[in-house]
Order: sequence, then structure tokens, then C-alpha cells
Amino acid sequence: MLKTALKYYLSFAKKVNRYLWSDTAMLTRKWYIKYSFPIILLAGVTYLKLHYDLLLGRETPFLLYFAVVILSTGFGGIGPGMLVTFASAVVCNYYFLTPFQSFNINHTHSIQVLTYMLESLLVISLSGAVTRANRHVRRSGEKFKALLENSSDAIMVTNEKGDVLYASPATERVIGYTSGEFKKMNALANIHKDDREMLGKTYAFLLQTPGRSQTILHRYLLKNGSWGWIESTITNLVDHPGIKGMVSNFRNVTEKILLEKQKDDFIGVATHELKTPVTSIKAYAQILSNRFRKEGNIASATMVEKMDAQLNKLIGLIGDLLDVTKIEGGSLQFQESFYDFNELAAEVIEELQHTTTTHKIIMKLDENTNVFGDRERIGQVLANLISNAIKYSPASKTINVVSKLHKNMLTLCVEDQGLGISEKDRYKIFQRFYRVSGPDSHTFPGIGLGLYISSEIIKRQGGRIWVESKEGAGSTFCFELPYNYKDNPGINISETTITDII
Amino acid sequence: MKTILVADDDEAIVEVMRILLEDDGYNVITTMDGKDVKALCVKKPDMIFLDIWMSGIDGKAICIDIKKDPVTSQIPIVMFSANRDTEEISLECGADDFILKPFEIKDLLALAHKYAR
Repeated sequence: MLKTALKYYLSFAKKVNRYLWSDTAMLTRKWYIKYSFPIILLAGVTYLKLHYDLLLGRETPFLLYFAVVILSTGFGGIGPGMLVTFASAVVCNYYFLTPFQSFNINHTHSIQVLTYMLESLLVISLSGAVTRANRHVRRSGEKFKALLENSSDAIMVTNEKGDVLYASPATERVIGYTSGEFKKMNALANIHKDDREMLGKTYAFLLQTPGRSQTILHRYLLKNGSWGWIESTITNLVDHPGIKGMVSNFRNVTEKILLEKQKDDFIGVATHELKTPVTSIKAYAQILSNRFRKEGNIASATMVEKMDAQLNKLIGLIGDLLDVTKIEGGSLQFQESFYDFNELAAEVIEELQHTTTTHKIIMKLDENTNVFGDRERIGQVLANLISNAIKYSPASKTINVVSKLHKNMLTLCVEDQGLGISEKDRYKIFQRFYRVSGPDSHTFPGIGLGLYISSEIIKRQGGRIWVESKEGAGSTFCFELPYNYKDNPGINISETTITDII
Repeated sequence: MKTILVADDDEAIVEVMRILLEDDGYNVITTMDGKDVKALCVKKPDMIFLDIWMSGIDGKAICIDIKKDPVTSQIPIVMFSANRDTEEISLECGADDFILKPFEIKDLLALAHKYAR
């Protein structure tokens, strides 16, 4: 019986509380309702006091009026509170303090009225503070909720065991399941079996350190039955008092992954399709050259050999274009291992020496060293620098290839005594499609991709590339590579630096 | 006379390989269908030039198939392809060597000489 009564009383108190000090309710009320409520209340209390004087206590004239002030402030805010404070002070004075129904303010009465008014003001200001605090909490809560629910990423909170404690509404957009369904189902069961181990390891790793965060990519069985690629950023917020769990922001990146794959496939097919006809043309040219030589038809043999040399240029260009496509798409891949750098340099130099009769390539290499990286790609850079040196020094006879070991770095420079590069060009030379003009605006052949590709390769292998040059007196192109760039994360992928010595 | 089996799905390449190898004194068998490679092994070629990227079945699978069969596993296989991962694939499938397209005929003939003699 008492329990039921208490229950009803509590629910009534809650309702009153929600009705009175609710910030939203107060904002939607019309001003005249806000002001008329205290007047009615005041009139009602005065009526009760006048007619049930003894019952309500004559000795404490202000007591019920305090309740009127508190309720009016809760209902309508500070304005109605102030109004009712003044009004009730007047009413009290008129009916209860002074000889009945007159305004006769003596010393004692004025102190009583003043005290009452000051106390009321205190109540009003406290009530205002409560309202403001409520408003603040509500607004930041709403803001947080809106951010959470309108975020394009879904947000999920799990405990340390992986049980889902919270899932934001965007979950439905990302994986098809509503946040309710997601919380009820075994969310982990839909992760692709090949990705579970990796995810488990990531979780275990993150659990070791509060605050740590990591982004992973995994496959997930979506509600529509298809597999999607999900990118999740998982953060350990177990120590955070408001969250106490692991937070995952996840998004569906299937389309992006498929597009990337399509692009990679296209590059693969393009490489194959472009090189296939060139392969047979080149082989035919070489067979013809052999046959002409056997017959003693040297003039014809020379012609098809020139054809073959042109084909080599074409193959180089196809390679360059594909490399640029890969660099732009971020899919330039490296096959890395330890290799003998000097052996590679000697190989490249020997090969290029065959292509020129005008220049002598002189090798001045420091002691042998094993370098970790992509041998073929570094060979490509070296070949590019040497063939540029030959191309841009038509009047000179030698090209120097010098290497030096210093600390953990290997520096290789290719020096020519050619045209050199003007200061204005020096800054642009590693840019895509940039081509240097010779004297009298004579432009050298080429599509201007070689140095761009070289600089990208060197950068991605953790090194740097630069040029030192004096116009008319030759250029020196250098690159610097760490022996084992994986052990030197500090110098990984530095920006291209151009050093001047003029 | 040594016999070389050439498998490639590009007609021009098959043709030029035939001329090239016959000029150098080999007996040449060719196929453009990957599925025939294993069957052609009954002709006991002394070596195989095998394209990686072929229609029907890819060269890597053919290579693994031949290398795991004790009857054919002794036949040297040289993978040839235009792709940069040729070396990796050759190692994975147990091929004896590889050459990248486009090739210099002297390099190709050197491989034929090395494995078919």
C-alpha cells in the first residue's frame, strides 16, 4: 500500500519536474501563458490564505508565496518569477503584515518584505542556473548525437571481449544491418574467415595500450548477402570513463577497392597487349638482320638493326607511360631484396656503353656494398641518368659514374660535361613532362618522363635525388640511398631536394 | 635434333619463335592453347618455352602441373612473359628459368642452348 503510494508520488514528482524545469517546454510556451500562470497561482494562494487562515498558519505569511515564486520560475523563467516576487510582496504587505488591508510600512515590516524579496531573488537565480545547465547539457548531447548519427562512418563500441555495446544508426548504411539487429547478432561471425586472425591480432595489440588506434581493412558479409570491404579505425578507449570500450569507426570501401583493382588489372592488360606485338616485330627484325648478314647484305642488315634500335626506344616509352600511370595511381610496386650495388652499376654501364660510340662511360665506384631495395628499379634510375648524360652532352666524350659510401648512405653521381641546366630549369627538371630546351630553342627528343619516374623511384626507396649544374659546363645528377632503408624510418620518403653549388 | 615446345596464345609470337628456333637448328612444336601443353609432353620435348598469360589456363598452373608429374618433371621450363612479376611466378611454379618480352633473340637462343643441349 505504502509502496504503491510512494511509487505514484515519485512518478507524479517526475512528471511535475519534467513539466516545470524542462528547457524545451519553457521555450515553446507563449509569453502570456508564462505570465498568467503566476498571477492565477498568486490569486489562488491569497484566496486560500484569506479563507483558511488558521489552517495555513498565520504566523508564517510568506511561506506559501515562496512556493508560488519557485513554481512560477520553473514554469515561465526569470521574468514571471520576478513579477510574482514583487506582486506577492505587495499582497503580503497589504493583507497580512500591516493592520489588515492597508499599506502601512513600518520598520519591522519593511525588513520582513525586503528579506522575502531577497530570498525570492536567490531562488529565481538558482532556478535560472539550473535551467541554463540543463540547456547546456541538452544542447551538447544533441550536438553529439547529431554528429554521431549523421556521420557517414558507422560507429561501434565493443567491450574487451568484442560484444557490441553500441552501434550508431549509420551501421545500416554501411553494412545493411540496423544498429538493433547488429547488437543482437554475432557481429564477428560475418567477418571473412581469412581476415579474422588479422582482426584478432589487431584487437589484442590495441588492448595492450589504452589510447592506441589502428586502421585495418577486412571483408564483411553484408545483409544483402554480398561481401563488402570494410575499413575500420579501431581505438582503445577502455580507460575513458565515458566509453569504457573499444571504438570502431567503419566505412564501406568496396567500390574504391574494386576500382583500384580494375585499374591495376587494366595496367596489367595494357602492358601485356602493348608489349606482345612489339615482341614479335622485334624478333622479326632481329631474324632479318641475321639473315641479311649471312647473305652479306650489310646495307639491309643495318636498316633492320636501326629498326630494332627504334623498337627499343618504343619499348622504353611504353614502360615510362605505364610507370607514370602506376605512380599516379599509387600502385608502383617494388620487389625488394639485398643486391650487390656495384655489380648492378657495372651491368647497366656495360649495357649503355654498347649504345654509344661517342662517349666513354668511366666507372669510379666505392667499395662493394649490398643494398636493400628493388634492384631493377634502381638500375632503371641509373640507366636513365646515364642516357640523359649522353643525350645532353653531344660535344663531350666522357661520362663519369662515381659512388661514395658515407655513414649509412650510398651516394651515386653521374657527371657530364654537357650543356648544363639553367637555374630556372633546375627546379622543374624532376617534374612530370618537363623537357629541357637546348641552345636556339632546339628541343631534345623524349617525352620528359624519365627524371620524374627516377625521382619517384628514389623517393619511394627512401632516398633523395638532386642535380648540381652550371650552364654550359655540365651537370651532375646524384641520388642517395640508405643501405637498408627499412632500418632507417627517419629518412624514409624525403622530399626531392635540389642543391645548388653556384 | 633437339625438340622445343613453344606455348603462347599470340599467333605472331608463336610463328616468329618457330622461325627463330628452326633457323638455329631445333625441331619446334607449337601450341596456342594452354590446355594442350601437358598433352604435347608425350612428344618428349627437350625444353618448353611457356607463356604465363594465356587464354583458357594460365602458364603458372601448367608449369606446376608439369613439374609435379614425375613423367614430365624433368623437362626444363622457361617462362616468358611481358609482366614484371615473371621472375616471381617462375620461382613459385618451379620453372627452370624465365625471359621477359620483348627479348633480344640472342638471349632467347642462349636459353634454348642452355636447356635443350
